[in-house]
Amino acid sequence: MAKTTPPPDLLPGTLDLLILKILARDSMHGYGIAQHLKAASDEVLQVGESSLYPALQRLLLSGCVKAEWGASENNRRARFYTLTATGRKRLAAEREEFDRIIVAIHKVLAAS
Amino acid sequence: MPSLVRRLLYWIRSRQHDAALDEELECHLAMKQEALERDGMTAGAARAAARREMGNVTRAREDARAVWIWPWLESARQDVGYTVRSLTRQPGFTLTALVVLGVAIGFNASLFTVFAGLAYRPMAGLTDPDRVVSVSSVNPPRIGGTGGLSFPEYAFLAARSKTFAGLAAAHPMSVRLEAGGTGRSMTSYFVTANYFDVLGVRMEQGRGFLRGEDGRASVQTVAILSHALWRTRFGSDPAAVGRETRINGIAFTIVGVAPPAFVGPAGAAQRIWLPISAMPLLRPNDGFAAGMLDRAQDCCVSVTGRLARDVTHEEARAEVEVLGRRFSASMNLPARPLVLGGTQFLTGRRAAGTALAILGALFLGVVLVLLIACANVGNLLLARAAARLGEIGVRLSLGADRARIVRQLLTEGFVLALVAGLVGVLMAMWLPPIAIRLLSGEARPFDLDVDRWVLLYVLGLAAISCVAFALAPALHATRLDIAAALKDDARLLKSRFPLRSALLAAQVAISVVLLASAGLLLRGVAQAQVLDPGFRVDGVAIATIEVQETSYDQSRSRALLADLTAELRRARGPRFGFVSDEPLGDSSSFSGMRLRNESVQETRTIEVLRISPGFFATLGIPILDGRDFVDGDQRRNVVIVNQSMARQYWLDGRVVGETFYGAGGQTLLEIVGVVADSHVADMRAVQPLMFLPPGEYPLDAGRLPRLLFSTDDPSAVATVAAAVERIDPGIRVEITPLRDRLEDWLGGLSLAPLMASTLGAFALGVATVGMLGVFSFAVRQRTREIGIRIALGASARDVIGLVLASNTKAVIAGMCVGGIGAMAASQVLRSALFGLSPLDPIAYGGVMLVFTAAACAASYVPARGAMRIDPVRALRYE
Repeated sequence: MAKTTPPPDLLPGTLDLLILKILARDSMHGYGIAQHLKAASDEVLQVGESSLYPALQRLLLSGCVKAEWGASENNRRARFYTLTATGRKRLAAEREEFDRIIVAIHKVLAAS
Repeated sequence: MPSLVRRLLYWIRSRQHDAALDEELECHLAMKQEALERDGMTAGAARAAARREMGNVTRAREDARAVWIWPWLESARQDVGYTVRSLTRQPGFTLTALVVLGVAIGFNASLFTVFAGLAYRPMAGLTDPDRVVSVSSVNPPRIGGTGGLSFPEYAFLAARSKTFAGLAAAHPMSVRLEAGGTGRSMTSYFVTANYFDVLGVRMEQGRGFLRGEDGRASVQTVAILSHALWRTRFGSDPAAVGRETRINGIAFTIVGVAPPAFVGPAGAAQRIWLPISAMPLLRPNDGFAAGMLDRAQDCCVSVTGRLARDVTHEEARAEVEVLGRRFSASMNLPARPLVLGGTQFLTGRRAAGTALAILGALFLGVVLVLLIACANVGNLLLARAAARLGEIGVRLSLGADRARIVRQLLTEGFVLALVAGLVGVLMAMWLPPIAIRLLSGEARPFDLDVDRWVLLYVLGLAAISCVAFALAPALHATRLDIAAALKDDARLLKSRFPLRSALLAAQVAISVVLLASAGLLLRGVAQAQVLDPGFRVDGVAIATIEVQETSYDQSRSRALLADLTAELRRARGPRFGFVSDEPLGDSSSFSGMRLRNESVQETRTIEVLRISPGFFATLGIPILDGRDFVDGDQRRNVVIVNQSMARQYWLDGRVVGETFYGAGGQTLLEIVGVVADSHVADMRAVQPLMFLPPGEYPLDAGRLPRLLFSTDDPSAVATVAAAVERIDPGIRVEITPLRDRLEDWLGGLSLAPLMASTLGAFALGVATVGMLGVFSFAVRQRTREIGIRIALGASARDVIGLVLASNTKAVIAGMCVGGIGAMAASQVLRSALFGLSPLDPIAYGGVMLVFTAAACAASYVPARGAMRIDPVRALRYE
């Protein structure tokens, strides 16, 4: 069984961060998360299902999100993910870390 | 940790979670499809596009699942499930593999259980045995090993030590117990009153010894019985406690019965414990016993102690060391270092050495058996893998990892090994007690429980043997050419499997080694039967004289022998002589010996027999030079040596008249005669042996010399009995032919061949099954070819030749290698061969014959099967 890898164009761990960020506003199902990601990034970031679902399972395992069954917009039974307190903390921490790295990358690029 | 809990919850409810994930992905697909339909696609096109976009849903699902479950664990679970299904589908294969492997592991586990019981487990039946230690003195290097302490030294330690909650002393000595109308001598332990408290043994019936019951001022005549003794001699009667019984003719009150688990240090079940102060009372005429409690330089009480609370082993050792030095100094004795040890059955290096040598030889045997079993099961797995080549090929071509398939095949091996281990554990639970009973006549002289170490050992064996038998076949089977495998053509693998032949040859070789060893040992026993003992066995009887110990002191015992001698001479009875240790008996005595030009340090010990005049004549041992003892020799320092001793120490020249230092190293002994070598002491190779006149040797009433007399005249037995009767009607005489002693001794030899034969027979069985399997496989592989040949008119002989040709080479190679291995192994067995050549042609020829017969039998069934192949069906097989 191969290890789950995020899309190569994303920095490692970034997908988790993005999912957390999306869920911070509202609870959402898997399809919604994918759509939202696509729309919010002006269709730059497209995440495949084979990355999305393992990422969601990872977040479930670490307790950052919890899942509940509910009705979708079209009255379809769907699984909604909600951010937990742990997830919020993690979002804050990862966001800070992400900013730090971006700043660092910028610095390196500007220096040359 | 919460993530671990979540993982576990998931694991438990994995089915629901899988369903949820499936539904979620299905939902995702549907949403996607809806979105596409909204964009104006038809339902069908939208569905197809959504599917396309989703990509590999299975992969997504598997990856998502993998987050939760450690992948290897998951696949291991699958593998085990798959294995169990496939094993139960082939019960024949499974059963064969389990029996072969299970019994082999069982032999190993049994031996380990015995080893554990002997070498590292504390004495059975103690409470908190880890806190119980033995205190012993280190013998001078010349003797080696460790010995006991003197009683005064024990008392010194017990009075001063602060690191022990209690120290107890014990000394074994044989006594005669009269109960139920018969008397029987048995080993008793004379112990201090705190003995059972120190060991933490609770009485099954009655009570233990009370404080002060070992007082020397007024000796208490109380006794405690072992459970087995209570059962066999007192019928497990609870009323036995409180009853009187006579020991050496003195009334003792039974106050307690020990629990069945406790049999004391030496492991004999028939035991009696008495207060140590009763020793002089029971053996008044035994100078050694009488003075034992007072002599500071003695060696022989064994001391056991229970460590005080919170005291470490190290602290106790340090204190004992200091106290030991202080004792030696205060008594003006040479310092004798004291050491702490455990309470294992095997303490002291010398005893351990012999036992470990035997265990070592057996260990080699059972390891060989395990190897052969692994080779056998390995071949079975190879055959199975060959039958499953199609399946493996399909899986490989569908992209399965080779490692994954190897792992699955290994899992199969491991499941087999584990179940076989279970069989082995069961065997280890019942085999050792039976074997020990055969060996010693005692049911459980020491702890033979299967503990966690035994289980761990079995688990280790299972793991190792699994790798040994399953890895090579697994690697082999997955190395195949997929295209060929898919054509299900087993013939293509023929050349790929030299491993089969190697494994077959290994089985044959190992079983030949084991069988040849068994054969040699059996021949050795046969050799011992016909071996000339060098003395007369027929027409000689041996009389054991038993007197009431308390009424026969040294001088009366001496007088008894003199009277008996006079009486027999007067009656013109048979030729007779006395001897201290009976020929081929259990006990033997040794004495120090050094040549005149050697220092005291060079003293060696040589076996010695104390004999009276007439001994050699009675046994028909020729005197080669010099003379026999004569009546006055008791007071002279004279000695007779056997030929081996003369040759070893005086090389050549006349030995009679030479002198050397005897026991004690001070007295010069003069050699007055040389006798021919004989096996009086041992049927094995003759060792140097010296004969001394009875002399001042302390006569022990409990161990009077044996009387040997010629029974050529049929009335001799009656004459001897009458002579004894005339001297003292109270004496009991037991007369047995010397031939019986020899038979007993030879009977004791049958054990090694029995064990070797058991292993050898099992190995032969395994090898035969192995050959049968390989020959059958050869027939299956070549069914079509044989069919064609039969169709073309091949005779039965040709067909059989074809079947045999494939594997005969392997069998013959195995027999050759095995023969060479057996010759190497036979060097180890030399001492048990009684002069038989380790290359004995009968043993080797016999083994080869047996083996050839087994090989023929093993090839008969497949060959017959081959001849019955119907050419039409064989050709239509594709």
